[in-house]
Amino acid sequence: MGGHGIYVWIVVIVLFTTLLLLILNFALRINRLVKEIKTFSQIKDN
Amino acid sequence: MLKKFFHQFASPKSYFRIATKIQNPFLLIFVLLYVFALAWGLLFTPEDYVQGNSYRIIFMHVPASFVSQILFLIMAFCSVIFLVWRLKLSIYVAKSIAPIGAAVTFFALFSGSIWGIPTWGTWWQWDARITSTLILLIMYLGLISLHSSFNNYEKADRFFAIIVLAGVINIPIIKKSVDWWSTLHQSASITLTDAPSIDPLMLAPLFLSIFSFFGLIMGIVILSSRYEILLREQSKSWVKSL
Repeated sequence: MGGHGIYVWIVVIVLFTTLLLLILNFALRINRLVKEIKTFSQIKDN
Repeated sequence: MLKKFFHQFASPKSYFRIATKIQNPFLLIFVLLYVFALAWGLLFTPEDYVQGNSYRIIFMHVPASFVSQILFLIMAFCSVIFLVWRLKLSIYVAKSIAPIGAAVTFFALFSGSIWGIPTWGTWWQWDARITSTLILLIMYLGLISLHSSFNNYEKADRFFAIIVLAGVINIPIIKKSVDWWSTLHQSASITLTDAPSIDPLMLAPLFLSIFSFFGLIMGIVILSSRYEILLREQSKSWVKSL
């Protein structure tokens, strides 16, 4: 891809970076929240 | 029976269980489909006569713009359900869409700016379409900060829903801006009434990229809404038993 192809690849990189960050953000938040809920639940039971 | 089905599905617990099962396959299918559509558009379609290769940004910019507006409409739909029927799940979903909508709108503006450099010779212009899309981004960000500024979820949800409904007027403005005003941004190439002005060789991957990007973003909405449900329902026994 010649000519102005560089602009296209910049947009591709930003797109997939944005999508990856979105997915990681929520996936990690869910993991952390589930751990917190379980830990709090165990403390309460003990 | 329909009422029973509706109420069962509308419970955060049922939705969470279904969402957890379908989330990963849903995301995987639409990621692969979008990668295929993008590869098709970027590598196997002919160059544009005027723009050369820079037009290929269309396979990212147009899906993002379309989805950014659709997400706001979905938020508005959920807000109506919440305000009328007081269904908690609807506001959980609406609230979980806001950050995703903001990210997609930002990307639509970014990709449009990059496309503008070789095409228009400028990365920004205060034209009707671009300005109204910027307003959409500001609305998404405003809704996120509005909700987080309240200590009380009940008040936060109600104000969130009301402001979404007030702001939804921007969506038809974005859509029709290229017809109502003399704008730098081109008018619609795909309409309901006329034949598309895009070559079929470019149109097919464009439609596929719009469809698959929408599916991909809905997969991320499922993920985000699962988080919102866990956050709001964390004191419930079904969450503790997960």
